[in-house]
Amino acid sequence: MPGWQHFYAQRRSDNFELISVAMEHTGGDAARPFVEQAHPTFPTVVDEHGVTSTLLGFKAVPNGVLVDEDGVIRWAKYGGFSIDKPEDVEVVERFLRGEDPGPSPVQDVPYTLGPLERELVDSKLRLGRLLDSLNRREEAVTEWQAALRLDPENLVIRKQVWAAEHPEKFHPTIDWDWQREQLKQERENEIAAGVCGPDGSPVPWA
Amino acid sequence: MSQYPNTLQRKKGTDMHNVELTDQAGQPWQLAGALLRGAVVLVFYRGDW
Repeated sequence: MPGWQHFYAQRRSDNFELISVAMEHTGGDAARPFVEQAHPTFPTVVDEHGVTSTLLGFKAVPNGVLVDEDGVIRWAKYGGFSIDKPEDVEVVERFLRGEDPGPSPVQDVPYTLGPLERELVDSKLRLGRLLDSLNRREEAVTEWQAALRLDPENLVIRKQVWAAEHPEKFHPTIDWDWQREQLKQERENEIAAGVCGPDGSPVPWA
Repeated sequence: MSQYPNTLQRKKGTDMHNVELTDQAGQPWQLAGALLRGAVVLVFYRGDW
């Protein structure tokens, strides 16, 4: 976030807005410590219900999405978008100069859900969030794990399960090494078992 | 599972005016309001970044 704050401060006079979207299913409280630490002058909003991941179909963060003044998406990068990557910054600067940002990076995924599968995943995510809000976490995790079995490449869902089961790995600081090892271990287990969850859905890429 | 064309490419051109989220205070926030100033760069993240 500090890098984007520097970028924003340098271009404050330009006619654009930089907005960070926190994908936090538990609401703004989870994002607040990080926001307060960085003191950004650009707005931070919270996507508590996965509205944008459903609309845009992304399965991982951090993402960058460039929206023109007519409200139309001109470029998007799902996963790995960073102020520390010169190629990402160059695209944003080109876009802000009014130039064509070019083609969006190809999203390399082994499958894409059909409309009914997508609806089922979204329903299970919403049900999980409702259960979680009622302090029925165990049942919430069961729903999220069911959603993950349908959409096993979706790191937004996978991290939601992790955050529920291992909150100490996310707050007050995020243990990135643990996440990398956990992902590696879970995928190895899923591929070895030929399933992506305990109920036995096939792993599409194995 | 079904095989469909690249999701991201299909989303290019999506109208974002009606996207409604919440601000840090839990109040409704609409992307349409930000677009009054011009183009918008959205950065999605989770936790620290």
